[in-house]
Amino acid sequence: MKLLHTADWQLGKCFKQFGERASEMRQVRLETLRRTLQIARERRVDAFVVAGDLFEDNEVDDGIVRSAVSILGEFADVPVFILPGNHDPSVGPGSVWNRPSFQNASKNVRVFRSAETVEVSGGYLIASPLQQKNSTLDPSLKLAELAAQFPGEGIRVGITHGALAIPSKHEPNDFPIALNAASRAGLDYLAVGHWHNWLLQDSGRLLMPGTPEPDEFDQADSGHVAFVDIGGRGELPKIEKLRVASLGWHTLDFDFLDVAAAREHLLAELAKLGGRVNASVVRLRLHGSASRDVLASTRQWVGDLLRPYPFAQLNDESGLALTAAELEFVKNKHPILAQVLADLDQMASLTVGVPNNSAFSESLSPGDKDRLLAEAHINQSELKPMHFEIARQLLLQNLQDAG
Amino acid sequence: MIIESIELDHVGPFRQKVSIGPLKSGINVLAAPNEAGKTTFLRAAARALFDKHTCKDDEIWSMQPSGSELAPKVAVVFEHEGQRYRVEKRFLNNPESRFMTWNGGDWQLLADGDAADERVQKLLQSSVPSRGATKAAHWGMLGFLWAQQGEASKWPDWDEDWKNETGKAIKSRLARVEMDPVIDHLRSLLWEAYTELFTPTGKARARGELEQVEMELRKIGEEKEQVKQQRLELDSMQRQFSELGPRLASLQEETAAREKEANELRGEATAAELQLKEVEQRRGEFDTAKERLETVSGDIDQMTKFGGRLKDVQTELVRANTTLTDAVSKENAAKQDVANAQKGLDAATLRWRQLNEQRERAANLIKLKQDEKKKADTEKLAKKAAGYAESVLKLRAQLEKLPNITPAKLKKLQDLNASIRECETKLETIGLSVELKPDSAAKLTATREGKRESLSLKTGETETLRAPQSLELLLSGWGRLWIRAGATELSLLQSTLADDRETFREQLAGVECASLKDAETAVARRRDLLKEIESAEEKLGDSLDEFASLEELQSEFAAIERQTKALRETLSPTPSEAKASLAELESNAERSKVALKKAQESQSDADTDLRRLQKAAESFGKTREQADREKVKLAADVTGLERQVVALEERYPQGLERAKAEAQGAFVRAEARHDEARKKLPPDADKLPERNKRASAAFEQVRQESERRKSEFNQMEGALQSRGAEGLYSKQAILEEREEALSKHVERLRDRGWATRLAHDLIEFRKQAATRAVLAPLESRLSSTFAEVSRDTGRRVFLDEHLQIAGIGASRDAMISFTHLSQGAKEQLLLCLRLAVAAEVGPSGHRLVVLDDVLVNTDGQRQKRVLDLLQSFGDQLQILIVTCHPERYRGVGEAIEIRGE
Repeated sequence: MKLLHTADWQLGKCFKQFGERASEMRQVRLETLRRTLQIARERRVDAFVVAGDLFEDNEVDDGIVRSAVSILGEFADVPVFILPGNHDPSVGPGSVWNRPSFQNASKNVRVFRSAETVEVSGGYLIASPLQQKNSTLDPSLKLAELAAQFPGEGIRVGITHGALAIPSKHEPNDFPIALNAASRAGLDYLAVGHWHNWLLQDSGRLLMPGTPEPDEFDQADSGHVAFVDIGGRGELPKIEKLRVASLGWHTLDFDFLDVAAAREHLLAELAKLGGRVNASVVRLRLHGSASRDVLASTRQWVGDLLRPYPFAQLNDESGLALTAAELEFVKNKHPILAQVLADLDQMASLTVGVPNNSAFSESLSPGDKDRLLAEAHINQSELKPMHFEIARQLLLQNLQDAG
Repeated sequence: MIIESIELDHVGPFRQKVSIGPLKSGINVLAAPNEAGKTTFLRAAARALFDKHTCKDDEIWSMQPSGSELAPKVAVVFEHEGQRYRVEKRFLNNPESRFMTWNGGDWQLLADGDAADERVQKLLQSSVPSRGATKAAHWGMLGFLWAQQGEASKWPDWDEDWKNETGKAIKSRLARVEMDPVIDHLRSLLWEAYTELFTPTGKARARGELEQVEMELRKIGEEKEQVKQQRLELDSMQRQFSELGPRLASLQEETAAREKEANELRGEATAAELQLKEVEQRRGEFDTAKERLETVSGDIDQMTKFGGRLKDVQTELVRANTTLTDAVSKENAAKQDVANAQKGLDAATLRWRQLNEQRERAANLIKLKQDEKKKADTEKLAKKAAGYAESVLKLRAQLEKLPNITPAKLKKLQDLNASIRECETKLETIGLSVELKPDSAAKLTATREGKRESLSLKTGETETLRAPQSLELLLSGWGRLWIRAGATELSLLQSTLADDRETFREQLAGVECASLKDAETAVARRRDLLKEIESAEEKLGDSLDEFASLEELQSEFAAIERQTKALRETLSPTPSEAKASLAELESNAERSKVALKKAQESQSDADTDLRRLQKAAESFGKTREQADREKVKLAADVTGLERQVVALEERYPQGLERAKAEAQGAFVRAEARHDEARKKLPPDADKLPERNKRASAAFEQVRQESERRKSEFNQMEGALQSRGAEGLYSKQAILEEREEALSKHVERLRDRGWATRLAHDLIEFRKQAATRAVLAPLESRLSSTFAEVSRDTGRRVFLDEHLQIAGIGASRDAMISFTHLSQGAKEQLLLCLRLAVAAEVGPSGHRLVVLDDVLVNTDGQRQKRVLDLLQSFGDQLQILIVTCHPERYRGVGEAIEIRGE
């Protein structure tokens, strides 16, 4: 029996950090689904299994549901078996599975609305779908009951959804599935979904393939589906990890410590993306400090560089830097500015506890600090070190304009 | 700048051209009473110097003379930096502006119209508002140096609301604060950046970027909340739906069970119903037989009772006939006794009535006697009172005829007459007095007041001639000698005399007297008459006795007379009665009273007898009636009983005993059939119909409930399918994505805004600290100036960082704040500050200090010291003092007057 095991497509997912670009991210997932089905067709699988969470929620937009069902219908020769997960549980008429799209879906599409067994190519697909969002019960227990009803030599493949019961790694009400759930139920293979990274357990009989499309930076092992080939009852499944993700998520760093080197490094990293600007989610972090001109020119350069990338994010934590001599010159030229910079340090120390190393003859008293903040209508408890750093930057950056 | 002169034409109270000047350097005092137009001069000068000639603000209209349409014209000549200038402005109608300079002994036009306004504005470093008239804030340096009337204790803000930099410049010069211009500019840049997004109070600026983003965020928040609410409702529906399924299944099971139970019970109930009907029929037959038996037994008993009763009634009827005869006889005898007693009572009543009439007549005769006596007394009294009343009337008539003059008026007349006499005497005395003492006898003719008289003078004797105005003497042998007086006093006396005489005449005429003597006589006569009237009224009062007036007395008399006449006509006394004295009448009345009493007792006795006999007769009557009724009733009873016996005998032709035997047989048979039918009934047969009904009702209830739930289930299923497809999650997701982006934007703006504000405020804080550090010298200067006025060297004047006077005291901690100082202290302090400012800016040309009625709350002692202080500044400034208290500034500086043409 050949399966393409997928899970956690989370179609319709919300991507807060991408704002107006989020709808494009959602669209990308549908394309990935189409591509994965194409792989299934090419490999002539007996079942295209979705082990839960095809949708992010039961109340996703109907347009997404229609698109998904339409794509599934495009591959009429690929039997598709869908298991409702904790994000899209089969809760009755309000669930996504009762939408007209699914009621009238193509014949190759089957949704397990309740626990049941389906015969496929002489074997059995035994499904234990979720009918609620949380539960402390192991949904794989139902599989054992069902599997016991089918004696004989047919391959038994279980499908369910939930967290693997790894101590301290799961919530108690997150449908905890025993790590030996496959062998315990006498299954040849247990297709599970829930977590978004690839995870194989129970001596290679239980697999959580992770999400086919990563949804955040730094996801270690996502973006795959599993091609599973089971030779016969009792044989160990052969599992192939197939990368299907459309988008690559990349975090890049730029440090002003050595601007030239940083530029070179950044260009190289971007070159690795191979010009796949629309398939790359890029997060660029600017660190360190530089002179006003370098800062401005670099920021301009980086902005131009990232402009073609629709899913680029820039985290600018860089700031203006003066050399000690420059700073000393400025302070000597403008004693009142020197005093104000010292006041900022003192205020940061008094409000957010940043250590104050500057020594100045006229120290800002706590009373002065309270009065100034009250007059400025600034809530002390909401102040962060960042505010003082920005203030310092503003003073130094604007000094030249003022002069 | 110093002002040389101010000219006004058609301004305020001045409808003609007026001016003040020339004003000099040093102290100039314009002292004049209130409403003389002093302040008008100053205000008009300010309008000419600082306002556009085309301005039509209320301030300008207020310059126009009230009730006129005249165009106010103002001209000010001033000297600035060694050059003389003249500004001429006409406002409102055909407005004009001319600006000239003194050149070569003549005024040379520099500019006119708007250009003139602008030249002056530039020269004086003043400004104009976009609309309306200027305020002190626009007057450049003069805004600080010009203390306006009523605002002596107000000091303009150095920094706020000023249209130019004058205040700041003065402040800077005074405090010698050398702010780093780069840092000051940096501070301005930061403030501009901050106020693009925020208000000074930290709120988002209206229509600014931050406010717009926040508004959009709020809107998204509201929409998101709505979607969340809808999702919660959907969840709730989902839960209800999941609970509804099992409930519906349970109901459907129960419906089936109930239906089966109801059908079984219905069959049992139908069978029991038929059996019950048969039992009911047998029961009816049994009841009929029982009833027949009871009827026959009853009739037999009745027949026995009728026989016994008939015999008893017949015996009673015989006894009743005897009783009736005896009662009729007794009643007739009693009626005869009653008729006799009635006759006795009628005779006694007649006697009593006669005696009562006699007694009433005797009493009326006594009353008549008494009334006649009273009538005579009242008549006598009325006549006497009428006499007194007539006297009063006569006296009052006399009084009416007298002139209407009171003693007070007489006193006035007498005083006036005395005054006239005195005037005349004075006239005589102070007129002309000529003493003639001839050496030898001589004759002369003297003419006084137009009267000529001849006089003979004897040798050595002095003849004194007096005349009020002039005296013309014709001295024989010498000629005419005419002596005339022209003293003013004489004229006044004559005028007074003429007035007094006229008044005297008018007053006499007013009281209708020909002379003072007549008036005096009238007053004396009036006084006598009033006394007589008072005496006559007193007697009249006594004669009226208890009556309030003569009319009342006369009315009483008339009433008594009418009563007496009526009584006499009613009684028509016989001659003997008429002659009888009151004592005789009273004796007769007493006798009648005794006889009447005896007759009354006889009548009462007869009445008692009559009642007793009537009662006895009534009693016998009742006995007779009762016996009669008893007889009739018993006769009727006998007849009725005889009829009933006959009727019963006719009802049973076969005889009563046989009929009873037949009924007993039928009863036993019916009872046996009824018992047999009852034994056939199933147990609880009577409860079966009720059980059947209950089962049907229960089935119906559960069926309906089941249908209702089914319908609800279907509806909810439809609703869930429909609402589930609304895509609420996706809607929420889109809103959250937008919200996230906007929140980050707001956060960035706020962070940057706060940082900007912190940087700005810290610069400002350090700037103020620097300012405070250099306040000490200025405070010392002000303190010493104020000490000259207050003579209190122990106190110091303190300024705040805005260079406003904070207060005075031994130390900053123990100072009394400016707002809590007396008005006098405030105006003195501000005067000192003005002088300090003027001394500071004077060298640059701003030398004019205007003090418009500023020391209104300053005591005399300090006033003198203030004058000393002003004198000390006089050599470097032009101080223009306007006051309505000239005595306070006598001898100070140059006195200025308002001159008209």
